[in-house]
Amino acid sequence: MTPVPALVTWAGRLPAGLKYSTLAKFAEDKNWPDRGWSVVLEFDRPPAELGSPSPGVVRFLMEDAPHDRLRPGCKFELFAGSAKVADVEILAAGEE
Amino acid sequence: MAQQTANRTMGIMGALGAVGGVVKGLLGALLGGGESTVSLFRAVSPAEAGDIVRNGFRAEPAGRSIAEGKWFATSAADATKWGNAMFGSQPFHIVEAAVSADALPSMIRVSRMDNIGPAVFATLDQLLGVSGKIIQ
Repeated sequence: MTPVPALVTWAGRLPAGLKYSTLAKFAEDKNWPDRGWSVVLEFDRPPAELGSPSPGVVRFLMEDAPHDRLRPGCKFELFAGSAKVADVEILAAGEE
Repeated sequence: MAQQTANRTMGIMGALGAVGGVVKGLLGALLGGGESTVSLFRAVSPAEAGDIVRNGFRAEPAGRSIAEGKWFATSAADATKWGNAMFGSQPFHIVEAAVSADALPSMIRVSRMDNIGPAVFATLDQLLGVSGKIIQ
């Protein structure tokens, strides 16, 4: 589960912590939110300091997630319940 | 009393092998008086666990979270799986929340999340006045 570089554009408030995890919505998720996957975002500095968009890295929470979705150019959304909290764009492939 | 009712109901449902908080709530209402509750479970850091016990469920005090609610598992076993994934080798607790059965239908529910199991998202408003108990 190599984290990949990503750019996160926040829809509202910006997190004040270095790590944030919630449910992602990918174009491939036909029955979303059912069978959805959580992602984990990590930042060198809190997004509240970085501003939006915030550069960071992203990975799936689970080992058995569809990791091939996190490819350069891929875009997906983050939700907390029914509220969209961010758009994410994968910037590059992860380091092997 | 409500908690006792919920726990007794959960035992019955466990014996039946059934899953479904709404049904548990309805059975709870039939078996005992008062408000019926449904147990939800969440893996949390030791710091969050302590805050929940002292203050109930609320927005993250240090303001590090932007979510207007919290995700829960519907079983302690599933919450433990999420905790293992989230915290790895770091310590965490499983907290049980007894939420009103009446509130459950209005919560966001996911039939299967992260290939673990059902998940429920409760808003902070829905968690107002809900107490938490560390069970693990």
